Amino acid sequence: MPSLPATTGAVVPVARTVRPTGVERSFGPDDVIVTKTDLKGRITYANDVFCRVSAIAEPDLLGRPHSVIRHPGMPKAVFQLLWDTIRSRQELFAYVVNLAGDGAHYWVLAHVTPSIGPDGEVVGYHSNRRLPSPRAVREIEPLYRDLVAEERGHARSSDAARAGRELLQQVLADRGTTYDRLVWSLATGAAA
Amino acid sequence: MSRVLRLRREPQHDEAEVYREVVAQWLAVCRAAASGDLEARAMAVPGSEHLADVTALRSALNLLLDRTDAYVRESAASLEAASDERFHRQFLLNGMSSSFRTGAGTINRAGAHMAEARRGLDAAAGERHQLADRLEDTVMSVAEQVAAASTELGATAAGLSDSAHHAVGEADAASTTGARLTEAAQEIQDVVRVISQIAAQTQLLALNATIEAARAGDAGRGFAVVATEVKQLADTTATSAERVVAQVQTMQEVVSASTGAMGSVGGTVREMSPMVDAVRTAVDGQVRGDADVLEAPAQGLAHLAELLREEVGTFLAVMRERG
Ligand SMILES: Cc1cc2nc3c(=O)[nH]c(=O)nc-3n(C[C@H](O)[C@H](O)[C@H](O)COP(=O)(O)O)c2cc1C
Repeated sequence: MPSLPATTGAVVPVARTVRPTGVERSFGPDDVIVTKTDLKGRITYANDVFCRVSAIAEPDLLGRPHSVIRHPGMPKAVFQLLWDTIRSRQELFAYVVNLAGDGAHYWVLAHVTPSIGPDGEVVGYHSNRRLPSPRAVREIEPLYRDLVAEERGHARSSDAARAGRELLQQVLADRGTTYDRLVWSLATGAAA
Repeated sequence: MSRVLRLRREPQHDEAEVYREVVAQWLAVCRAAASGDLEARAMAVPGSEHLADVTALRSALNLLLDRTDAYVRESAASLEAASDERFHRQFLLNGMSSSFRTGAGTINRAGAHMAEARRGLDAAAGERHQLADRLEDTVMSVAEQVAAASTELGATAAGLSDSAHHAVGEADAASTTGARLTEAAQEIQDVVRVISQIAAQTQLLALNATIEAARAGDAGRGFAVVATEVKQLADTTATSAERVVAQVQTMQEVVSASTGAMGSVGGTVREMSPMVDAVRTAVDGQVRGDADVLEAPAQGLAHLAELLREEVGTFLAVMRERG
């Protein structure tokens, strides 16, 4: 485990109130955006690509929760699926839209995995993100819009999450697929 | 870097000190990675931010670690997915360069081969299921037909066996009747022979009486008439007796011929009887009261058809079970 350098402790965690500008950012097809988190999802490592694309300096990231780049267009249901999956020691592939520090947004195809320690225990989480195809983004955007709309209709956060999850499950069942298969069908251009 | 800037930096870092710290920290990271701990990363060392070579080294070192880490995670996960037959999950090649990419490609090809092998197995299994369905159809219909045929055959054989036993009885009765008729004919012949002898004697007596009557002249005329009547009666008796003998003979021939025929029918039917019984045994299983087969109960055709159906059912279950 990387130990956080002393300097990060001095960083004042600024409460970010970044407003989405609607500007879409892209990155290189061979760029991989990497972060590692502790068991609670606090960032312990971010590579230079992450800092560049998210427009956040490394000292402002380390020790902060990963929701630092959460975009309002992301359904809670997807993050719930993320946590359920990695907590059961499985890998997850997901399309995620992130909010950069300067208000721009960028879509990624995220691969989130638990990091297994020498004794077989989960010591943290890891994510590699790659550039998704524009077609995949076009396909996933309306689904996420519907899920977010469903979730916004509920005052309580837990109700919202449940409603979103139910709608997601229903949509996937109607299409006769799973989230994983859907993501892969969009990633490889094959039928779900 | 201007001196002024460096003097303003808070806190102050001795450059040599910073380099030493960088080497110490990142050496530990390299050692951890070499020992298989791919979680360690080169973190920023305070005071090194402005040292271009140090930042470049850190980026390069972390890129190496990130790629190796990604490769290990991806290869493990994609192989696991392939062994779980989740063939849609591939090794993502983006960000994998040269030998990493080659390795990733190899893993993907292996996955594709496995997927193809699985498709082949599925196709074979599909064929096997079709084959099983066809076999089942055939066997079931054969078994059904055999069962139906055996029921009919059993009934026919039972009827045949009954008629055969009946025919044997009839033939036996017929030959008994024939024997009795022959005896009766013999007696008739004996009686007729006596009658013929009497008729012949009577004829002789009548002849003598006629001669005596003629010698008596007119006085014997009445007696002559009686003698003539007696002779005619004797002649008629003799002729009738002959006819009776002839008829009895004819009858006897007919009776003996029919007795012979009945006898051979009886023989044939008697020979046939065990064959019919054998058919019955084959169809119904052991015939009740057949002591020889009691130990190992013979299985009839209908039972065998049922057995075949069961056996094939088990076979098909195994055949379908295999994927
Ligand atoms: C390894 C890892 C990587 C993550 N990456 C992201 C990310 O890129 N963007 C994001 O919004 N959330 C990410 N999350 C999920 C966040 O932890 C969090 O659940 C999410 O942002 C939702 O935040 P909220 O529950 O405060 O709404 C990641 C979590 C883990 C464990």
